[in-house]
Amino acid sequence: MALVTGSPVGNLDLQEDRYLEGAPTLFVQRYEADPLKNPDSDGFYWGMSGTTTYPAYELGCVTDVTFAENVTMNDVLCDNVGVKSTIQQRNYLEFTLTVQSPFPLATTTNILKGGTVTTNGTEGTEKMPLGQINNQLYWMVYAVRVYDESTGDYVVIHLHKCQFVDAWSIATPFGDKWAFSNIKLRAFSDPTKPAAQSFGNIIRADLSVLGT
Amino acid sequence: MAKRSISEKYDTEDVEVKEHSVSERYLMLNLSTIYTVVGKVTGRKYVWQGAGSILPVDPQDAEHFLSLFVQRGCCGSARINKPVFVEV
Repeated sequence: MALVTGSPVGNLDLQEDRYLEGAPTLFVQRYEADPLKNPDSDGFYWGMSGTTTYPAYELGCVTDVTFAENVTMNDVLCDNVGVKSTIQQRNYLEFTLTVQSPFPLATTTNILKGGTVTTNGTEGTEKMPLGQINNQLYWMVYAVRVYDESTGDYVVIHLHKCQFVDAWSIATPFGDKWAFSNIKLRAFSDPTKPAAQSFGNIIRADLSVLGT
Repeated sequence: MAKRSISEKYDTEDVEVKEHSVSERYLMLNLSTIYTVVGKVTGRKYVWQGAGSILPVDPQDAEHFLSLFVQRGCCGSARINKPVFVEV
């Protein structure tokens, strides 16, 4: 955009006239499984490959999805000058969401931090125990949003080592669906991954823009 | 009653074990759950202890177990008929 003040001279980068909308499709898989790209040709660890022991779970009918980070910040305050800098450390990244698909309980138990579900094929029942929280369970998170179906352009957020944290609540309104809200997937730094992507990575694929 | 020797007794048991193991089929659970079910034919109770666990199953029960599917799919994803068991 032409500015009466004049644009910056020299090397200038502009952002693209493309926008993302809607929530990503969210998948989780036990941290013990390897990501599909482990790593890819550029050294990035991402993607999921479900196995019998460690299936990939899709979180059904999600809403109110936000992705945020938590940092510790401390100002460098010099009494004779004022704040000269701010020291920052990334603590974690976090998805917050609401899930509206309650079944199967074998998937929901992961979200609600329940125990191992027992399915009785003869009775036709699923039984989900709610006991103490297992703090040793970690998950990979794979969040995908295809922003151009015709060309297959997409954005992926991959987080290596996450836990379901915080207290959930289930709204049970009359005449409306149940909603499992305040579901938080908190991603920690994974020391087994390269330092530059220890929390995860964001990957964009768009051949028409980025291809050669 | 005729008295049996020790060797005769062992021979008989060996044959029984062999016949049993050859005729059984091994099914692996494909769902993330503890799965209990009673065989419709034999009435035998089976308990799989989680995804990937394998149990020997009487062949009379196996066919029915292998025909069990759960239908999954939500929010635009393709619906899948996921088999409860896979024979290994």
